[in-house]
Amino acid sequence: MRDRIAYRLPYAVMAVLGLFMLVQYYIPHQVVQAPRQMMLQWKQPLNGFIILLAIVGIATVHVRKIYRQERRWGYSIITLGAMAAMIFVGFAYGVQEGTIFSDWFKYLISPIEATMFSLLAFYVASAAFRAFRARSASAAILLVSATVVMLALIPAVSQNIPLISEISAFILKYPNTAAKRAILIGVSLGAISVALKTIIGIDRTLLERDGK
Amino acid sequence: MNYLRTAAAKLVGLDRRVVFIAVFVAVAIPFFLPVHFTAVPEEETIQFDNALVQALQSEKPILVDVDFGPQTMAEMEPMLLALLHRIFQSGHKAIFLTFMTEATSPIRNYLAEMESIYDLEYGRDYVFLGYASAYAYTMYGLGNSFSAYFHRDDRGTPLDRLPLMKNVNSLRDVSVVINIASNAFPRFWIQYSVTPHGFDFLAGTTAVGATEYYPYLQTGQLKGLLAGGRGAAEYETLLVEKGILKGPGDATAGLGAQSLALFTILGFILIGNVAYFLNRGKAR
Amino acid sequence: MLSLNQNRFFLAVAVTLLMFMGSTVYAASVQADGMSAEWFDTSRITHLIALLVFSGLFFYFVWRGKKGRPLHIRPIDAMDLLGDAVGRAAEMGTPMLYAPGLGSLTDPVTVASLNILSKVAEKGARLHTRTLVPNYGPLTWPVAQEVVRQAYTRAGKSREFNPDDVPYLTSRSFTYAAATAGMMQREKTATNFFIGHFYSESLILTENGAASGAFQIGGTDAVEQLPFFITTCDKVMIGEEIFAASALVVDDPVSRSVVKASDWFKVILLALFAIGLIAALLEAILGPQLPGDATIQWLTAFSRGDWL
Repeated sequence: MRDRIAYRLPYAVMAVLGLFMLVQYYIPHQVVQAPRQMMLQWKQPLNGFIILLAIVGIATVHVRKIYRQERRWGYSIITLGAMAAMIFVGFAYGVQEGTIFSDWFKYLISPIEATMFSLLAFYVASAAFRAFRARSASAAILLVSATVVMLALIPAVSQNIPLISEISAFILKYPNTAAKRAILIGVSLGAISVALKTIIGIDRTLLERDGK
Repeated sequence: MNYLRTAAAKLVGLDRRVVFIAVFVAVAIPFFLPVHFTAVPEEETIQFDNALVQALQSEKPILVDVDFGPQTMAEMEPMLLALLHRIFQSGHKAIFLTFMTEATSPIRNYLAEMESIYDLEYGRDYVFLGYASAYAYTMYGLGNSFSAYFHRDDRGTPLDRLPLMKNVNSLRDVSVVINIASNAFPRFWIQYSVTPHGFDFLAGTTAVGATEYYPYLQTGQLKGLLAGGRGAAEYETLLVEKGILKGPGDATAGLGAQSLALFTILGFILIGNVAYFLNRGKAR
Repeated sequence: MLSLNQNRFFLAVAVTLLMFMGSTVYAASVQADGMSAEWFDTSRITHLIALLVFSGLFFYFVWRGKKGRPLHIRPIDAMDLLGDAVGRAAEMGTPMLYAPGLGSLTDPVTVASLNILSKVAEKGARLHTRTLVPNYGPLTWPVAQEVVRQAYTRAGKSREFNPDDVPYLTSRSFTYAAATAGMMQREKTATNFFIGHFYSESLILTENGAASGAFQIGGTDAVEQLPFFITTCDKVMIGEEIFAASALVVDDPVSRSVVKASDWFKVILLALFAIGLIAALLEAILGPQLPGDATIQWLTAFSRGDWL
């Protein structure tokens, strides 16, 4: 019996809360909106616990790697050390402007991430080089429209070749937007299906337990 | 001819490291050469400014949500600075907030810069509410109440002690909401807040993310859009024309690198296609 | 779950009543300033009608599906290739990589992606092929781990499951991209799946995979990332194809019927769009003073997608 309750309870919670969130969208009355406000406010402290989960996640993986001395376990020591150091300086000296924590963030983490972001320019170039080839009629259309849009982005070109900005704007606003809307409508319907399946409990992958 | 075809076969499978080096050179060159480009404002950029002008005529303050970190600063910072000059030059009041922890310290610096240029007074001319977590809930919730989501501002002052916040209870009390973001937050604003509460909304995004927002421009859920470094450069030009900025800023300066990089990519696409067709002839 | 017997019906009524009483008491106990006393938001009537029609179709087809009548659904290329993709990794004796995206567990696309993961991991387990699942969300991580564990159990290989194959990496997008790219290169994954919601790091993930020569199946509901997937992946699920695939991999009649319902709703929408288009054209030609103008206005607004 206890097992059955434990198994069914998550579905019940999902169904009740899912239905509540659905209904509240149409009812502005405070009987519905006040509890909703309360739920939203509860969400904020709950976010804190998610961070705890993340820390536990990283720690377990890397401690296990070091303990078993798996390949490249040296990096795991660096990861754990860096995490411990950030947590320590954050708690010991604070996180405001001018503290060690903020400096490490500004001068270590930020430049590393900015480097990754700037890699995009290189990857865009190499992906475009390989992919934009007129292999078929539709690929040729893609190639031509991509070329027009890119040319229009270059001021020296768009200011000297007439109509290119207009054609590029047309491509972006009409064919491009129409296709996007179609995809967006499909995505919305798909999302509603998943939500409905979750609410009525058809979708069980996420809460599956031992083949049940 | 045979020589050409062998070359074509080699080019089809060109090592991507060659592409990388070419792009690197193209991006680096403009920083050493005194080449100047200017951008001509496009429709979305003009729309953006028109909507902002309307808001500047109202008595209500403007709400600016700044969500970009150091990763995308090169692209987003000039845009935000142009916007800040636009707002504070006209003597308007503004409230700032962010949903990104790493954005807080840059925002403090930008605002301090503005404070010294325009001689602003904190709390009266502008307020920085600081960081809020749970963005979707906060975006929605601000439509009903500011004080439920922000008890104190970034400096720890309770909201009711800030003169600017006295008359601001919810999003109804701001003239326009502007989101300068490197991520999907403008979409969340539209979905979670513009749709249920209905207010004027403007956005500035990265070039990569901008194409997502054209449909919303057409439905009017978005009143104007600054698209990436180029949008920022266009806005700088517009503000220089209107006499708000003295000269073009960093976005305009970046146009050179952007133009050359695009030329390089187009060049590679051309090479790729020529090589592909020559090679196909050989395969036959 | 669907069949409502009497007990469940009374339970549902009781729960609803309890919730209503609870929230009334709560609403009375807090100062609800700026809140409305309206019982229905009339501006959302279009929205409600659309939802009711969709739900109606949904339950109709679920009911039909339960009766076991076969339903035909358009095949999805990328989904049909799932088996081949797993087989390729098995042949080459290298693991697969499955990135469930950067969306949170509240994004429907993440839920759909985890459904597909469940099938991929099960197929992999049967062929003694590991599935590496790098995680971005600390909440998605334990769920993904459980999904893969269950997949191994279903394949009868629960002892082969290694939780370290489903690690939590980081919640910073570019760091995540770097770590995942490293994983692909170190483990020389022969097959990569990128299915879920992605942001601007998408190209870094897929281009690294393409450079290592892996067979790649991509899929995302992030429209602005689709071009990157299309240029770098071998097969791509566009938007709702992910939701359809997630229903189809389960291969039971109820799941198929869900896809069917959304297909029929699209037919209704297309018909409305056509009517709206004609109405707008009529209005443009005949001027706004024709009879039934309000209806036309409504249809035009509806076909513009204001309710979305």
